[in-house]
Amino acid sequence: MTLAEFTPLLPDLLLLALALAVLKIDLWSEDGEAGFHLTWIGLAGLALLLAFGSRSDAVFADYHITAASRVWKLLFTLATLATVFLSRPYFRAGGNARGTLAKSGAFFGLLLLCMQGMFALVSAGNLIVFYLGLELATMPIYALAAYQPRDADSAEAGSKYVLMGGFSSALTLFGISFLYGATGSLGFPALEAAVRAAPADPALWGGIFFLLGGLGFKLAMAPLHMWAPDVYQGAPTPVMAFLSVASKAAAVAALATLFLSPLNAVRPDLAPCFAAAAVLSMVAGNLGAMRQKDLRRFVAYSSVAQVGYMLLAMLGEGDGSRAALVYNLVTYGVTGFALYFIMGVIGKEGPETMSGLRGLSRRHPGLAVLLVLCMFSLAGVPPLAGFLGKFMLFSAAAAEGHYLLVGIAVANAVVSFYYYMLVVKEAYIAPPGEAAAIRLRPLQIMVLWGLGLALLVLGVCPAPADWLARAAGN
Amino acid sequence: MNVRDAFFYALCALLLGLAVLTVAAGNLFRAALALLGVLLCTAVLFLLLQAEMAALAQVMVYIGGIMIFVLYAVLLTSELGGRMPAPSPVKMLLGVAVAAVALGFLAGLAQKTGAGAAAARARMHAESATKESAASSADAEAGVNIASLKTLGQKLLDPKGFLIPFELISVLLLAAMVGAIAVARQGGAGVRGGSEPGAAAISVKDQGGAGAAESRGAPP
Amino acid sequence: MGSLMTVLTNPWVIMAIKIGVGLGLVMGMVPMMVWMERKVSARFQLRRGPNRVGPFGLFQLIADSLKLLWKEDFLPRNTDRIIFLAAPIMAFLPGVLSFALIPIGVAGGNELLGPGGVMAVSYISMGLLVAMAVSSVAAYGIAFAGWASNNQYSLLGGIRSSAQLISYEIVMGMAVVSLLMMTGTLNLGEIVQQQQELLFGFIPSWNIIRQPLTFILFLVAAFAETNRAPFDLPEAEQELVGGYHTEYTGMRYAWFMNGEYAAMFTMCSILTTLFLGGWGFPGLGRLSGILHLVVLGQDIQWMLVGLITFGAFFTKVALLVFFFMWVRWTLPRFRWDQLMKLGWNVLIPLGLANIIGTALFLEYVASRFGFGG
Repeated sequence: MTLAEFTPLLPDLLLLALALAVLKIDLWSEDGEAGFHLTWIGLAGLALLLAFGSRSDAVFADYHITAASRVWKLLFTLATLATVFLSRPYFRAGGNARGTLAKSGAFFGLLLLCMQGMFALVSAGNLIVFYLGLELATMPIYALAAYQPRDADSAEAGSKYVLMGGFSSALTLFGISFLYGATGSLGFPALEAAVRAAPADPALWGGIFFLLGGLGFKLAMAPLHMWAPDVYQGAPTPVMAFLSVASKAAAVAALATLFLSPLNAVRPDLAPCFAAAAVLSMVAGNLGAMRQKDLRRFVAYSSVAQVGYMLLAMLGEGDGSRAALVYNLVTYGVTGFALYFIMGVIGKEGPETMSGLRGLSRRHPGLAVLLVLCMFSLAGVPPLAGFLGKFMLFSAAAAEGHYLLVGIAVANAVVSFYYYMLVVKEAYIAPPGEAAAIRLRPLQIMVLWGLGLALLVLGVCPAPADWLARAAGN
Repeated sequence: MNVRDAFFYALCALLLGLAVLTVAAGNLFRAALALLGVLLCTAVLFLLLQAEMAALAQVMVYIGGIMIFVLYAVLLTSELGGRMPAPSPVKMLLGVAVAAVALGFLAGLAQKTGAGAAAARARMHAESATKESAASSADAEAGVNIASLKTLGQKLLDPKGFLIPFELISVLLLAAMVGAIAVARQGGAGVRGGSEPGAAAISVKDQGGAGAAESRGAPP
Repeated sequence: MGSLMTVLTNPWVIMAIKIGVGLGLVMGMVPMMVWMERKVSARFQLRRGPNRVGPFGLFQLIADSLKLLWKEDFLPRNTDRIIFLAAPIMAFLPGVLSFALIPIGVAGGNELLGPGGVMAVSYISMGLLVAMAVSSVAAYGIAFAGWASNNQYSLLGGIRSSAQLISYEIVMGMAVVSLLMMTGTLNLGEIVQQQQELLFGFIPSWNIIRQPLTFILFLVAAFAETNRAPFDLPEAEQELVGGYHTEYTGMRYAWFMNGEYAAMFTMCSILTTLFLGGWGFPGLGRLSGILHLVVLGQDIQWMLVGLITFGAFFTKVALLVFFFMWVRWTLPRFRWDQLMKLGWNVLIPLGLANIIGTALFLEYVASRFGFGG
């Protein structure tokens, strides 16, 4: 193998180098500043490389670099980059009312290693790489969820996530062993051939059943979502953000990697299963979110509902579904991070709860407007990004004739509007306390403007969506 | 039934008994011990299949490594002779039901596999045009012992074989280590030993302080 | 007579005899080593040591054993009985088990006595790996003893010991890896065979010469694995009373002691096999040639070679055992944190560097100049 053949692998290798460099530089720098700057510069470079770098596809035994995998990787990179910026105040003394996080170097290093797992996941060409990627994409989060020092909730989140994650990994592995037994191969091409040849093999279905169970846990899809509220609530906010965007995207990608390509042949038979999970997730998420006072818990339930919507895409035909998923994850990520940055801002003085939002319209009108945009986008109100995402999902399912399901989904979206408005009510109508005006740092203003604009642009301008759809579709 | 078969069935019976004990033992320590026995029996099972490497790896990694840590976690957190609360009858019934369904499924699968596996495997190999599986089936036909140490090592480091998973595992282990250390040292000097029950006793009894904290930080 | 021979050449009977001899060898060595330790320690401390019971105090051991047998067999209350009773046996077994794998001499042409011409209780192709696997189980006995005693000192001793064993097992594993890269085989007999050649015509090509750093790493790890001074922290009496065996009395205590000495003997045997040329010595080939001229019967000839090689092996082991004792009565004990620092911050990086160094050596030096593995 010559060096040139490794060029398509460059982003993955650079990411590993970056992770190691961040971990190493942390040993030398006292305040962790160097680690932060190295991380965000590296991630930004990586994003540019993925977006504008080599476009050639390549196959290394069981590692497939394709256009679709590049889109996923870009998505993970941007989500991690946003998480890194979001975590900035949480490592500063007095940056957050809940307490200061320590050991930023290890934090960023773990985020990057986690990302490496996601990269492997979407490039997997066989079940071993797939499993290892999935594991590497979850394992660092066990530690990150318990990152808040001396905090019982955070420790609980960490241990709960370890237990649930371990259990789901075992399920996944068990499923993989069945698939291996049924098909005699770990590689995706052979798997696909075997599935086409004998789609009714009980061993195959045993494997799919366990695999779906394992992935369902990671995805927090109902009825396997019980861990999500506690973990989201206990984990530090940046970790929660990473969980709800990057990690969720990785789980969706895992689902898409498996069920949209090698197991595509059995997907029509699985439709009732996906449909049931989708409806359950939507209902459980929406009902749960209504009564939440803690914003992180609120996000957890709302994200369960979002998973329900995204599962609709698993009912559509391959390419359109993948595009809808990617687009929806992008809009969800943009909206989510806008909300999390607002949480970070209000978290400086008080707890990140509903009541912490009180008087936001007086303390910083701009932030309040952004919050409204976020909530409208999450609910799927037309001119905003969330609308287009939902529309693509619903149309993917409707194209295959699942009208009843789309009806239920639309009803759910309407219901969700109610609790998203509750948040807006807190910011605008609830009687404010005597809190002072909020002053933002230049970096925060920049990021918030960027996210707000993206919310609007992604909603009204279909060009980026079109580009993503074409890139992810093939 | 020859000696070998008799030994196999006796071993399996022992393994299953220990497996049941692992989940049914009231005492956590006993459960861990039963798990230890299960792993040991599995290693012997590997030996019966002439997969020496797998058997030895099982002993070294699981019995000599992981289970010691599991036992320590149990030793340091549970009381001597302490019993766990018994699960409610409903839960127990549910568990038995799930186990029965799983058993039925697996038994059916085993029966079916015994009959049709050879034919299906042959058909699949004929159909799959990928180079890799063709090569591996050729290996199997030529009687190459895949489990031998040398082939194993070469496969693991072969770019066309398992090089990428192999390297990924090292990244995974690195992540696990960094994560474990980062969380364990999270509290800093203030809450040393506060998080783990045994550690407090050690840092008091050992050297009375200075070196103890560092030494405990070292083994991850 | 004929029927007796059929019984004796039955493979099961031969196996049983081999096991008996192997076990007897280790068990017989234990009292000898205890006596030796007492004598050696006495010399180092300018005392005379045991000299009342029997010639040179040799029968002191019998007296000691009898005393231990007659001691009260005490079972502390509130302990986990089964674990408490099983612990001494579990501590004793690993040390004895690995000895079965070690080739202790040349068995000559008799395939029944030693397949492949190697005298060993069990001669298998993955011997080295099995030895590592067995020794990895050693931590259990001590951990169980420490926990089941229901005694803080015992628990601390047990925890220390297991942490120590696990840490140094990594060092030992790394040493074995670099050795393995040189030898290319896990077969202990072949490893010994490879060391019988001469480097440059006069240096025995023992692995201690081909891989000095590996030897040092392995040796240090061996001290730690056998809980010998300067790594005998689990039973640091100033801090922990008796460590993990504080609560044990009589024969149960004796099993721990037996296990410790058996482990030391086995460890010295492994060291001899891996690094000191096993049963061989320079000139062995010439010696067999002379024997070939002098003695007529082939069986007697093989027997003599077997005895000589066994003698060579045994001498090396005895010297190593003396070295272990020498170290014990010369060096002070490490502190707990120093021990861990040494293991994790010094030896493991050294082990990794050694692996990389060996790889580079094999790739760029050895293959070019035609020596090494």
